[in-house]
Amino acid sequence: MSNNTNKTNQNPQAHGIEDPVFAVPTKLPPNQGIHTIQVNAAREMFATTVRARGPPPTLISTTRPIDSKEPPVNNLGTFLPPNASRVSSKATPVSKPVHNQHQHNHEREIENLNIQVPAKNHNDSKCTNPQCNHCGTVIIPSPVASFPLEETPSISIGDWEIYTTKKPILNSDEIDYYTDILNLPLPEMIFGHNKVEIVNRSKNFKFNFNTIDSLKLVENQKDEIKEVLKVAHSEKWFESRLDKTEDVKEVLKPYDWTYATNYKGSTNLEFQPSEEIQIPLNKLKQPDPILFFDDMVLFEDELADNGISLLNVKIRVMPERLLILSRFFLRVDNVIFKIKDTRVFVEFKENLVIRSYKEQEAKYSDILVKVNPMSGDPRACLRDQNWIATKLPIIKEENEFIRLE
Amino acid sequence: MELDPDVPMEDAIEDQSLEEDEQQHLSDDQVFYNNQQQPSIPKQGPLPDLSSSNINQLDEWIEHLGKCQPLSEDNVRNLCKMAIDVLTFEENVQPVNVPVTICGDVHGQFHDLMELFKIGGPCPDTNYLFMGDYVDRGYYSVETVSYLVCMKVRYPNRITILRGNHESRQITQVYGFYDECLRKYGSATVWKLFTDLFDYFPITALVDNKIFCLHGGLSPMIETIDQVRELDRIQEVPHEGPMCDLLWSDPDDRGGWGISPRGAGFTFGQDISEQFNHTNGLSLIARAHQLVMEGYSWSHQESVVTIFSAPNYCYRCGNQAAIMEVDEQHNRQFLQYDPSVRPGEPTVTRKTPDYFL
Repeated sequence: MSNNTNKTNQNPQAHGIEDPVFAVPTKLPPNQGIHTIQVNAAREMFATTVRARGPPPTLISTTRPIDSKEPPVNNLGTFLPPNASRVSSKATPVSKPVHNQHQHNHEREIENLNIQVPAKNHNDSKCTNPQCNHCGTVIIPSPVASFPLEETPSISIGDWEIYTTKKPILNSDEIDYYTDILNLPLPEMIFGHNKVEIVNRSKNFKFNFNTIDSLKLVENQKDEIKEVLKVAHSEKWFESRLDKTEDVKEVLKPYDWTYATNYKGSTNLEFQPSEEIQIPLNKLKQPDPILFFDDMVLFEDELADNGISLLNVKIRVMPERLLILSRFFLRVDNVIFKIKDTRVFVEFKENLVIRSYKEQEAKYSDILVKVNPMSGDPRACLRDQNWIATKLPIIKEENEFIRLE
Repeated sequence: MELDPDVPMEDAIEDQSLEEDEQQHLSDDQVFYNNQQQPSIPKQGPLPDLSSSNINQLDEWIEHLGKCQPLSEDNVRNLCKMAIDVLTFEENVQPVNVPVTICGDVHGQFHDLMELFKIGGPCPDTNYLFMGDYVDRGYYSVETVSYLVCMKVRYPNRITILRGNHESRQITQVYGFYDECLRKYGSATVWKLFTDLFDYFPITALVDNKIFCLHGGLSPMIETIDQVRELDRIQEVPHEGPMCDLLWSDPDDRGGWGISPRGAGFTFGQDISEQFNHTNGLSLIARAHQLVMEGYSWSHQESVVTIFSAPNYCYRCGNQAAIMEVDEQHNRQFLQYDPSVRPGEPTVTRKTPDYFL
């Protein structure tokens, strides 16, 4: 029996942009410096987040979409509550009307790109990344608080369509279904419907990162498990069991419980290996406006509190190119770190897709010694994926590409 | 879990005078096993009554915490002292009467805990049994555990709070409670006070001799409930042995006892649950510990139920939460609920568009 309480979301104020004013702690007692640094770092993060909810500052255009009849609803620079704009944008999906008065170089380029929101083949699901009614800027989705939690933003640039889907974790029936198919106990947090997808219909190219395919690559047969990892206290645990638990069965269904997948995405065309063609970092370092951004977890498991196994996918779309980073991150406390990154880069006009794959790995103890002993909480570093990624040696790297004809 | 920047940050306390033993720096062994307190033996007999000044004090704290404002460090110290006095009188298998509402993991989602009390009815009008995991992962572990402990001290016969595997020194250092204490109090003192208190939490409860409640599951070293009564519970959650199993193990579709492929931890099958219920004259094992989309989940042909009471776990799983009401006739009813929605609250992890490479 259930008693579902129905919640409506709405808290427009929560999304308002404001200049965060923070009190700066003065006169700190000795030995507390590190805590203050943490507080300040958190504040900076907070301020960045608040700023980020507004339209990207680099994409400036002050006139409204030409085919929108609605009056401006907000002062310039004030962020619209996402739902308010979502509703109206759904009613009048607007295709790229950005007109600029500021004459920045990239803006002129943007005008010729045929940007559409939602993407031209967006299905009937709700578009969650509308353009601002006031300035036409694409609003990067802000999270909604309503159930069912579901986000399906999209954008298209020329022939390139980009879709992402975020939904709740799988329910019990779905878990049973996929457990059978995959022959594997699923990770604790299994976002089985999440997906990042790019499509170019004119070139018959499809590429996506999805959860279920990523788990198909997890080793689940005894003979294919190359490396049997155990949690740090395993030996001690077994010792304490030896005499008392003879009737306890062996590990019956061994599988890679760290879910270390070397998933590189799912696609309908074949990539060609290449040593020369690499993702052009210099192009990605340019401060091009980000027209579309998403970041999602495909699965996450805290390994019964022995660390973390996480597959995360991020995408950023700029006017001329996009980058997807799919990162598998594994930390088994006191045992090992692993990172498996797949990057997919698309240069729209050249119809060039480059995929690079990189594996990094090190023993936990080897990384622990690299932590600055003066930092207050060494574990904070060990939870920081980006920091870890700079410390782990690379054990495998490969590049591939496709030039779509 | 990542830190959500939307959480208001408390200022580091400026003019705090730290006591010697509180200036803990975090060398591993020190912090991991820093339980210098002598374990004390559970006390017998009736619980002493609260003085009226204590009652006033507690009511004041409960009101304060109800607004999601943490107590001062001194108040936490007093609260933990009072709580130890209450919890030492509890048994490893704490008897609980019907009617009672049984709840699973909360994990620092304070506002959802308030929602839980709205759905299930206010305490002390409704009796509650919580099966552990009050801290870590959510952003309000301090307020959540302070509130529940306050309620426990104020209404010791109306609310039972068991220990979960997260009520431990080691786990809280990795999954958030420790960091949150540092952030909100500027030192690890409050973390130490609470983790010392956790050692006193009862590990199982027995509802009207029929429903055995615990955080994780069964242990191959425990065949009867009496064997649980013999454990020395007042200690850090060990890495092995029956107490560890009770807080960690999971039911599984496979029969018999299984060993997790991780190399530690048991799973128990339907035959084990049925045998345990039969031996001990039970109708049901109620446990928490595992995330389930619907908030509750039956296993082993209704001999085991998993209850999970943190909706939209980690602010992004999109799951429902549930609690289980058991009435005087032992009828069971599940109440499912969604996250409470509040202005300014993190609902899912927000991401800043960033120029990642």
